[in-house]
Amino acid sequence: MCKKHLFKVGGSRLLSGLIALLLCGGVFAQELSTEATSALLERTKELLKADNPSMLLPYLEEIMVRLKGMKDKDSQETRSFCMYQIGASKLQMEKYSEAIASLDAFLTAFPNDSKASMASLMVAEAYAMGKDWAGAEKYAKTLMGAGNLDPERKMSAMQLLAEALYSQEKWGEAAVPLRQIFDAAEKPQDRNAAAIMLVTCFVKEKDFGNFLKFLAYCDDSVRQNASLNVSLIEAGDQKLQDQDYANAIVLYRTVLNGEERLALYEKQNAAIEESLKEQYVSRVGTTRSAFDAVQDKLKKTLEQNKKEIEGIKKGPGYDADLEMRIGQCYVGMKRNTPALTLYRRFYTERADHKMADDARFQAFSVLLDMQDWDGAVQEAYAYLEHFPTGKFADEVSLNQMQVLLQNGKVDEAQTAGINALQTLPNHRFIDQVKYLLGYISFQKIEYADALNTFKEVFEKWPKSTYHEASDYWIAMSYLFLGQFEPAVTAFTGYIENKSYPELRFGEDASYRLGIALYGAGRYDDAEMIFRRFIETYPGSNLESEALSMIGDLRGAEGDLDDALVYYTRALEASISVEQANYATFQSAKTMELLEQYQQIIDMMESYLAEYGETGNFSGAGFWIGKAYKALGENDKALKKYIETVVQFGDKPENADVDLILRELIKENDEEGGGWASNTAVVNQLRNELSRAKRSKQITLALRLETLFAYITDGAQRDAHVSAILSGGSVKEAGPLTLLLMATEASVRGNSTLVHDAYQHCLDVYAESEILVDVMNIELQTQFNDGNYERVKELAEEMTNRFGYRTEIGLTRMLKANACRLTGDYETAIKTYKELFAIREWRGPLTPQALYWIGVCTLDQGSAKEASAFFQRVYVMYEGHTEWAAKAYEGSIRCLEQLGQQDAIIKTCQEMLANEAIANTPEGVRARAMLQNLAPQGESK
Amino acid sequence: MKSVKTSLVVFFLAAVFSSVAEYQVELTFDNGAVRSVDNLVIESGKVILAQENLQVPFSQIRSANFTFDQPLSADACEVFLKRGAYREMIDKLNSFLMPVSQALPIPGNLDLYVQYKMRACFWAKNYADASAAARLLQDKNSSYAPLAALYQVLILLEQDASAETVAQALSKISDPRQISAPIAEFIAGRMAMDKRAYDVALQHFANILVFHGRDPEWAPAAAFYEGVVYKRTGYLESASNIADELRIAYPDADWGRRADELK
Repeated sequence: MCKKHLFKVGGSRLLSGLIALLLCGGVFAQELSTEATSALLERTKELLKADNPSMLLPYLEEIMVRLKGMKDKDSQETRSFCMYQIGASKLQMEKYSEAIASLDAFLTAFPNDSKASMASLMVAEAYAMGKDWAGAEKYAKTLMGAGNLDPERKMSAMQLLAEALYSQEKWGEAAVPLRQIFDAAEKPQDRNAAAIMLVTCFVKEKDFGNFLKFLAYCDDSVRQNASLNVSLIEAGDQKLQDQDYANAIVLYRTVLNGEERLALYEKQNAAIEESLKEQYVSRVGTTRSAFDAVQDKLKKTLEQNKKEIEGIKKGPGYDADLEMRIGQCYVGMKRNTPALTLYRRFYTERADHKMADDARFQAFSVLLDMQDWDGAVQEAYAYLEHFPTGKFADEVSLNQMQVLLQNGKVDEAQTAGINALQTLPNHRFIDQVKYLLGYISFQKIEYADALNTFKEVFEKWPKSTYHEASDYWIAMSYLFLGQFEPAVTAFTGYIENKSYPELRFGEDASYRLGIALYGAGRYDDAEMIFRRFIETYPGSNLESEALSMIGDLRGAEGDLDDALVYYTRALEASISVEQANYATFQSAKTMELLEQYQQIIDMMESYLAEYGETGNFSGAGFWIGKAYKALGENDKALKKYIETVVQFGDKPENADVDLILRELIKENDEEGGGWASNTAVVNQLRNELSRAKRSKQITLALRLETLFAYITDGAQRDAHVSAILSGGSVKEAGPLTLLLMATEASVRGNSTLVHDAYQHCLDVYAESEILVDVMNIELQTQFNDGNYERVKELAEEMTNRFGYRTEIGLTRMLKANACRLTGDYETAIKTYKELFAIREWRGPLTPQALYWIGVCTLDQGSAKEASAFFQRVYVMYEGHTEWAAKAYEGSIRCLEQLGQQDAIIKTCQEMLANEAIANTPEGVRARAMLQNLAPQGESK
Repeated sequence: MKSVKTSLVVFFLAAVFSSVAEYQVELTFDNGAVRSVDNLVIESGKVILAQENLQVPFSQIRSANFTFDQPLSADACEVFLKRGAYREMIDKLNSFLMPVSQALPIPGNLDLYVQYKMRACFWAKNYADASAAARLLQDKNSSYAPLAALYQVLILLEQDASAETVAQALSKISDPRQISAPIAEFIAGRMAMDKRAYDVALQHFANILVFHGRDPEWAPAAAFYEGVVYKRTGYLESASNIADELRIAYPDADWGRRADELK
């Protein structure tokens, strides 16, 4: 840094002294070479007074010539004066090397002269003026060592030394005299000048403590200096790199931004321009040349400042970088709110700046750190809207997906992932996005999609962080697809894969392997795996579930006592109410098989005592009632049922209340009027219904209305159904009420209510046993409305969810019908065939399935083959009159196509031989056909 | 204009600062007349003009503008604030204000010093003097009166006045943000702290740091109270980081000393 010469040696007092000396001599002269010495001296005095060194110098040199060889005291004094003054004049004429030589000669000749210290100071100054800072340092140090310096000269020497050291960038050494000057300076401007140089030294020396201390004393005159500000930024950067955020932020805050620097430059320039307007006024102690020098210096400063201003205005500046760095400091200091506010301000006020991208990303990151998930998601959306292919679009979209998933916003997460891959086909984290998409599909029960996606991640990105996880989820997808054998293979493959040293999902996979084996019907293997699991992972969170599974397996084998032992162990190992519930209620089922009804009651009473309100109250009530019933204590059973319904029935989530209602309905049906004929019981229920309505227990009221709707008929039933349909929204209804609502809405053609009831049941009662019935009504409604594609889709979802449950037979039937009606006969036939191939689905639907296969086959032009299906219906399922009649008719259509008239007559006769079939519309048509086909003629 | 110097002896600050401050004062009267005097003599609320043998009530004086030989500039006062050297600042201001204390109720340029004194006293926790200065500015309907009203609210907050009292005082100020956005933010932050609405408080303090980060008075205060919120909410590392920052930025000032409260 080139520091201007700040400390000027004051010469006016010295000159006054010399003039006084000359006056004492009383000498005057006119001509230089011919004039008397006294005249020369007089002229010299005048020139000194006029501050004209160039004119003065010849006079001084002439006097020196005349004094040569003179040894008297006066001559010596005059000689010393002249030698000193020659040096001073040369210095003033900016002939620095000559000045140094002259003053050196003076110091050599008169080392003890009173002006010696001043001469030394001038030598140092000459070196400084000539930019010979090493020379200046040497002389200034010499002077500092001299003990006879007056305070003012000492201060000047110190100033020169400081400047010399500073100019040589000896920052540490320069700080010492600067600090002394700062402490000793009487004039505020000297103190300020020292502080300014000190802060630079401290910055360069990285002594930030002292820097900050002295910065407070600096006025604004140097704060705009680009070099100082850049040094501060560099120092801040170093601290930032060292993660010393507190120091970094303090340093960054001391940096002036472009606007502030401009303001200071402009303020300074305005002051300079004011000064430049001033005219020279001759006063004691002032000289024209000194005034001009100051003016020149001001002009130069003005020009330099103007250049700086241009630079600030044109250049990119560091303001934005600085702001972002301060943001980094806030983040590093774990001060999220200011960090977020800063980044938001940045991208709002500098929307078009290249770092607006960074600022938005940082804001998003801060919100993640604050665990403000909603805010983070909004920020992510905004980022991707502004910078769809921005620097951080990959990170943002991936994190956005994760946050959405974490918040259960599965559909939004899926859309975000799909959009990310569309916008960024070469997404940096494509494996992770795909993995999350697979996970989302799994959560949405779209197991086939999940399987494909996990397979893609597993196969395409073997180095992905999700490689192992995708392997595990492939197995899980198979399991949930009901593809148990591939699931067994996949789980085994995962568990035995040596490239997974940590086997992150090992415990879970080992348990799931047992489930897969169980699903595959390999019960012995399943039991062995569960037993091994318990040994390998003692104390596992899944231990209770594994024990319950062994209980189930033992129970299925008929070892009910053994099963009970395992359920008891499962209960002991349970770590959640859910696990305890499973073990308890499975025990109840087993005890029921063992006819240990009193034990069921005792167990459920203990269960209620232990789990209190956190347990499944309604489920326990259901079992207690059931057990009492089995013990023949019907009154107690009924009492318990009603007590449980009334006590817990107003909470929609107590889905077991609906099971009790179902049990009550079933019991009433079985016994042909059963308890419903007991007026006291019915009145009690009616009173409870009235009370529930009065006390706005809407859910309980709806449940009791539902019960009455099932156990009454005619006008009474209609009244209860109307009350349900008008009495509350689906949100207040339990599963059985929703089923009734959906059924009645379907009958009334109110598809909207069916959809609402279905959606609510799906959202809230996903675990209810009644859900499948509600879904089937939804499916039927979709079918009735001709939404065949939705029927196919929903039927698959239901099959995935409920597997081989009996109710799914109807689901498959509706799917097959949808396929048939959309001309996809192949899938239709395949699906119909499931209904007699799968044991759980066999029954009333089988003749229908056979019939419709016949229809599809006939429509495909295979009349003979179709006929065989129709025949199977009326031969094997004659009792199913409706379908047997349809099958006869179908068979006749086949025979017509085959031109087998005799066979048609025979079939019609066979059909009409069954009275029930003969009375169907198909029977009526067959009779008419037979009449037309009978031989024409007269009877004998 | 006749310039006569007056010597002022500042008794209680003699050891620290120059005890002599010279000034002249230009009095402008309601009728437009102007007088410069070297020795402002006040008796019983009236200015004595010895030469004219007059005594003029304050109510008839439009303004009294003081010119000090070595004035304390607004920039210099800002430097004190920047350094957080509040007590030093009070001493310096008193050296100007005490000798002319009787003239303070007269409208004029001394309000600049009075408002700086109010601020310095507030930060030095000398609430009685801060409040007195604020009252003076409000009573004379100074241009600093709205600012003084905000400081009165701040004083109430510092003195643990009830939320109702603070809210009532604040409601009397028509547009606090217009008077001073950082002070309005600070008051809102402190009030939110009192209600334990710490997220809200943090946002107000963050607004000061981000939008008024150059404010020598409010930026450190905002950082300090941000730290207090962190401490109260168990974010001790964040609080400690702020303490470090304050110690570094204000090594010899109140904020540096108060940093220990955050640990």
